Amino acid sequence: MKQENIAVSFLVMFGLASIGKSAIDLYNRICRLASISAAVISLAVRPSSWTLPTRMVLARQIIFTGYDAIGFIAVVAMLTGISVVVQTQVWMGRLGQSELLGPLLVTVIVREVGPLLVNFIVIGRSATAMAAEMAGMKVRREVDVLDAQGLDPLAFLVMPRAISMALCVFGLVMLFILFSFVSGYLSGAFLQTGPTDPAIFARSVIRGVEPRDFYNVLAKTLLPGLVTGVIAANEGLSVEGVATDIPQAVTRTVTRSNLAVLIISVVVSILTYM
Amino acid sequence: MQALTSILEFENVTIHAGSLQTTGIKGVNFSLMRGDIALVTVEEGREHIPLAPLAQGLLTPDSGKVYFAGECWEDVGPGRQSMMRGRIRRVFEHYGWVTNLDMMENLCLAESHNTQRPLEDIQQEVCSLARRFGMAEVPVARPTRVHGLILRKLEWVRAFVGAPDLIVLERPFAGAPKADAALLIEAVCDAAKRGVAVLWISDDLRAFKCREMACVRCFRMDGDKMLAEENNRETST
Repeated sequence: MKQENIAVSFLVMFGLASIGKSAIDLYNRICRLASISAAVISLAVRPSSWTLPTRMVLARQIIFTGYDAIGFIAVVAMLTGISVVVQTQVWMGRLGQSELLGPLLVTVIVREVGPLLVNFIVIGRSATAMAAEMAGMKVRREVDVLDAQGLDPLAFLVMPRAISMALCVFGLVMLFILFSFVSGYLSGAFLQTGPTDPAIFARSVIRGVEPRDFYNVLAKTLLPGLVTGVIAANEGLSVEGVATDIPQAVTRTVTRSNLAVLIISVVVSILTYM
Repeated sequence: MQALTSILEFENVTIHAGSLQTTGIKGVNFSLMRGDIALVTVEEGREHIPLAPLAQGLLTPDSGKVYFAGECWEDVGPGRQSMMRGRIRRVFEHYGWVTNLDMMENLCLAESHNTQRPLEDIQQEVCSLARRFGMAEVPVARPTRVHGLILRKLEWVRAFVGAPDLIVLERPFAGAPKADAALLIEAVCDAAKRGVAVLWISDDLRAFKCREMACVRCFRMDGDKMLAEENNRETST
């Protein structure tokens, strides 16, 4: 009996220790990410950080993360627009609540689906590439080569990439919203599930937009974009000189970025409705 | 007082071997003034001696201090360290390129990041240095597409771009055409005349031609100790 009690106590203590260790690890990781993000912002607002090579890195990253992704984002936005807008029009019509079409579309597309989908696409398309690139540079000791030439890796590698990620997510979400509403209107007009006059559709959507949507979109694009960039760079640069660690860094980037995006999205949504 | 006037000073520096490829050093003392050339000879095939990363503040010694232009690396913050490193050029013993930049971008990177010089001006200087080292032009490809011999000579080019205070050469003849050794020696001597301090680590006797210059000070690595060659005085304590 006594031995059983000891075993149970041991298991309880072991369980508590594991939970405590995980909590401390998570806390440390969050603190690290927060401090890197703060350092990135602090560097970004300093004009002296934006040397010619740093501006070149920013421009290249914007082309890769933003410009090159427009086509794919447009396709996803159009498909989303067709499915969400048409369904909303059909159900609002059946319920006799057509006047709620605009607010509902804004809530679904602008506040939730748009930012979430774009963030997930950017993580899958660009953050993975960024993490692999950073990890490859670390393995090939190119980060040391940069450091030796007076190029601070945080200012030259991390900052422009994280900033461009934030800007690109914001820009792509704007395009996503535009494409999805246009495609939704066109498909609704074609299937005769919604208004055929574009002015009526536009007025309905604009009526649904509130000032807090502006802050909501900003918070759900710039912040997750920045955090995703920081996570990708951090995971990539955490690789310790072994090429076989690169895929693991990429995997960690995907899981942690997706989790961070979801947490930020939930927190911002709660704050928006409060 | 010397720490305030020298370009590079090692003060009783000891560091233990960090990995299988890197050896340690023990109690190393030396200083370089403007225009000085320190030639440190090592045995051929010997592991990497971490003098260059120590000189650049990339490694922290286990004991002792390293000063660059009068400032101890350990006493300044990361931002200041990067600025100080911007005044140092280096030929790396191992691969020293950023693979996602082309050769011209690599060659101009340090100078365009650390100075306000126009890019065209830097590119012109790079082309001029390339011609000095016997290359008609700078390859437009990325480093992985450039032959090793050319890469090594392009490292020489990069080391002389701009107006550095210190040039660190780590076995610069390794993988370079023998016929071009004189070009590097001549460039080093010219840089020293302009007031650049040079730390040259070599396992190749061709570097000894530099001894013809009065300002060259020769050292020899003996195990983990650094010995001054002229009078065989031990600079390690």
